[in-house]
Amino acid sequence: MDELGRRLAEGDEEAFTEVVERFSRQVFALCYRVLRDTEEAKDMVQEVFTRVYLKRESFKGRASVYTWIYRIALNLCFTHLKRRKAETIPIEDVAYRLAVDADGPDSRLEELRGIVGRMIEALPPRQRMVFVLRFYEKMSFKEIAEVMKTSVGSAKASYHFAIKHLRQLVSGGENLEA
Amino acid sequence: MKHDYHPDSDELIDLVDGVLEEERRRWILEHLKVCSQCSAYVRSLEATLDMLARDEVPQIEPAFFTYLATRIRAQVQKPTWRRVLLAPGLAAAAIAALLVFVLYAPSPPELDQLDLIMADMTTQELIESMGDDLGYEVLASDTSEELFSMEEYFQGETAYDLLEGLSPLERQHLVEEIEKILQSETSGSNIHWGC
Ligand SMILES: [Zn+2]
Repeated sequence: MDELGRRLAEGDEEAFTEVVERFSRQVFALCYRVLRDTEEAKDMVQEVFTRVYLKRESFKGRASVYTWIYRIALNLCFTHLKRRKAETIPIEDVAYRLAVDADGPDSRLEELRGIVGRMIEALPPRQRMVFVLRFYEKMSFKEIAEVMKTSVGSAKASYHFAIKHLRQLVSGGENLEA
Repeated sequence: MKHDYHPDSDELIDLVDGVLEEERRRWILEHLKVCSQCSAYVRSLEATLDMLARDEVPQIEPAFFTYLATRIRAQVQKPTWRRVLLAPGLAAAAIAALLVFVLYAPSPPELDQLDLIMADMTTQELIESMGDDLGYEVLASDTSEELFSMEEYFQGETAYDLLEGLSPLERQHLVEEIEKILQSETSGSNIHWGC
């Protein structure tokens, strides 16, 4: 077990503070990517580190502290997503807005964020998680399979579905099936 | 090398994702040179992913991260604060802890969670000497009634240490934060901040 993990597991308050300082931004980024809502992501970060605080003495050091926290965050986000009522967005709506707004200077960053948010929100929970982990978090399919408790093949299939879905949103539904 | 059949869309995604085996990758790249259908598909994939890649995580206020550990402890450890007499020098930090606790409590705090008074100065006196405006700021109260009820509540109470759960680093953050507020708003104040 690394030094920080050992101190955390022993209940050292300083270690907890250090863990929060070191990892909370990354956890926020992950939660935001998955949830696409700043306030929800902040609440989720607080929830994640509250769990870390309450469970710290059960940390066994089999993985690094970060991996442990990351898994807690993923599980909470995934559970949250599945509970959230799924909304469907008409493809034409997103496609039209994309045609109008897709490329623009920095001032359009907010707009882009909104569009990307709508696209990602159009994905069902599992596809959405896998897409975020692969595309934004740069995880391997093996790692994704481990944290999502699934097979490499099925993680990859979810990613492919997600990409096809997203591409369809952008190109308005035209299709290629070889 | 034959081009009489197309790679399927999964393979084209793998190509863009960079996970194809080298030999297959080369075959598909050759295919793309002569197949407008597949190359259009790849271009649309790339355009989609380029756009998704330009999306950034929004910046949020740094204080959210700075006080996160403090808020979590405050939430979890509420009932276990022990009564400690504060050294005069810790007054600023204690007020800062109160400020942070009030500002970041997940729900409006109960007044009985706020019974903080300096060992050498009552919070009542402290608020009075700060003036109403700063009192609002420090106690995060929105209305004069609210501030008044807090002042009333504080009157005559004894000191509790909200700092117990704070690390030295957090204390330092808190003290710096509160000192910024105080410097900008109490020039000429008679409060002596010993930190
Ligand atoms: Zn082709």
